[in-house]
Amino acid sequence: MQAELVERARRGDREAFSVLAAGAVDRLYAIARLSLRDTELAEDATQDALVRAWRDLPTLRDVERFDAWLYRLLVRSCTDIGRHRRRWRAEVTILPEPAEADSAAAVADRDLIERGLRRLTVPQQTILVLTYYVGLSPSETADALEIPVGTAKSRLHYAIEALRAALAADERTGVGATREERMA
Amino acid sequence: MKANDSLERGIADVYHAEAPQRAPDWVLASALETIESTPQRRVLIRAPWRPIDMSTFAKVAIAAVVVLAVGVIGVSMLGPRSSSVGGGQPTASPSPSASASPSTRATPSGSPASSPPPPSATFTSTMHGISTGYPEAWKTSAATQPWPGTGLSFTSPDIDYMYDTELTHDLFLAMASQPLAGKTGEQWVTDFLADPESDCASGTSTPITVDGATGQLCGTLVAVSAGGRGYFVRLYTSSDRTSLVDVYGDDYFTSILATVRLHPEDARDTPAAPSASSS
Repeated sequence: MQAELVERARRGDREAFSVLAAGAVDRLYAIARLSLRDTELAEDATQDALVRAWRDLPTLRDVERFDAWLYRLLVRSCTDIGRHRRRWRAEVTILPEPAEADSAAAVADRDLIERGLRRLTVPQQTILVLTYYVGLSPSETADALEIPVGTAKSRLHYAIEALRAALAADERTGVGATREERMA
Repeated sequence: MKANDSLERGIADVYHAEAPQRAPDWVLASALETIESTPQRRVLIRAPWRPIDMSTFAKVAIAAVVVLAVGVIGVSMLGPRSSSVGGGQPTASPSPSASASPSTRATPSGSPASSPPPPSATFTSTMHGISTGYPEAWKTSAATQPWPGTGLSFTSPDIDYMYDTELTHDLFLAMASQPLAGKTGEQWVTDFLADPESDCASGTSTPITVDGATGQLCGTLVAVSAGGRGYFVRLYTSSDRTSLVDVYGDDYFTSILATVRLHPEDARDTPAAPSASSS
């Protein structure tokens, strides 16, 4: 069914593409939102990816790979938009958010991780999202990122290490409360 | 349980807690509105057009080097057919075929290397009466219809393609042929290169001989005529990927052309049977 829609859309059928886009937009937006951690930028990235998909669809040779190809376009859009964000962020001072008192360990951990994720670069965020949210395999992730599988595995490893370092730095500098303090 | 497992599960939890369930309606609406006025992209078989700001002297010098290199390769590889690129006896095959030399390892595709993979495999087109070498790791897509001479798109079913498995439409070889239809070979070549779709209309072409057939070389596009047919062979590298252009440039194209064999007597001008395959 989807392959038929993709084939029709590839030949210029806008109605078929509308159906495909409607079926993908929520998923794309969620990925963009998690990767960019910014609502407006995620909206822009999602729109951009959909427009790119329509424009470049004639270049897609294997209609069965539409989903993977769509992820690839979204990653490109997030990367492009993420570059602008990085420039903007370089000009402002990021103040740590005040920690909210919360006695639930799970929520506290989640808060720490969420704070750590904010410190990662867009490429690091993206590979974590594709792996742990979308659930792509290393080869599928590599395909979406247009990099070799080995590089994808390595990038994932370093993204996790960067997150771990960010968490450790937070605890060392006392940003918010340490995990132990939260759980006390 | 490893600490990493815990962290990874924590990341997944954060994502699933944070992920929005729905995109704002206007995101899709706005995208579709933009698409209404957005034409789809046709992947034309364009040459990476680099010598745009070169001096005339530089253009002439490069053309001379290319012609010289073609001649040297012809001498070293083809013996008596020394004035041409390619050569040897045409090979006919009942169906499009691709073969690879098992002794040659190709550079992994996807990531441009400083030295590109050698054209160690051979693709033979029965639709167009031509064969060529291409990198062993690439895929092939055989033409199933006669080429009408227009519509140079990557997805055209009337053109033979050999393409990098990861870069696909960013790096590929394409070739096709058609009857001269009353034109002289020279006129066909001139007309083909003058067509804006060939992306040579504003460029400089130089004379070249491929497998004994004369024609013109324009960047990494060659057009020749042989046996009452006009042929083109294009090595396309996306200008979006400048590193590709550097690696898969004129020298590489010359090495490809040295493997080209023209056998117009095997060309067909009727659609192939549905069983025509691609690899």
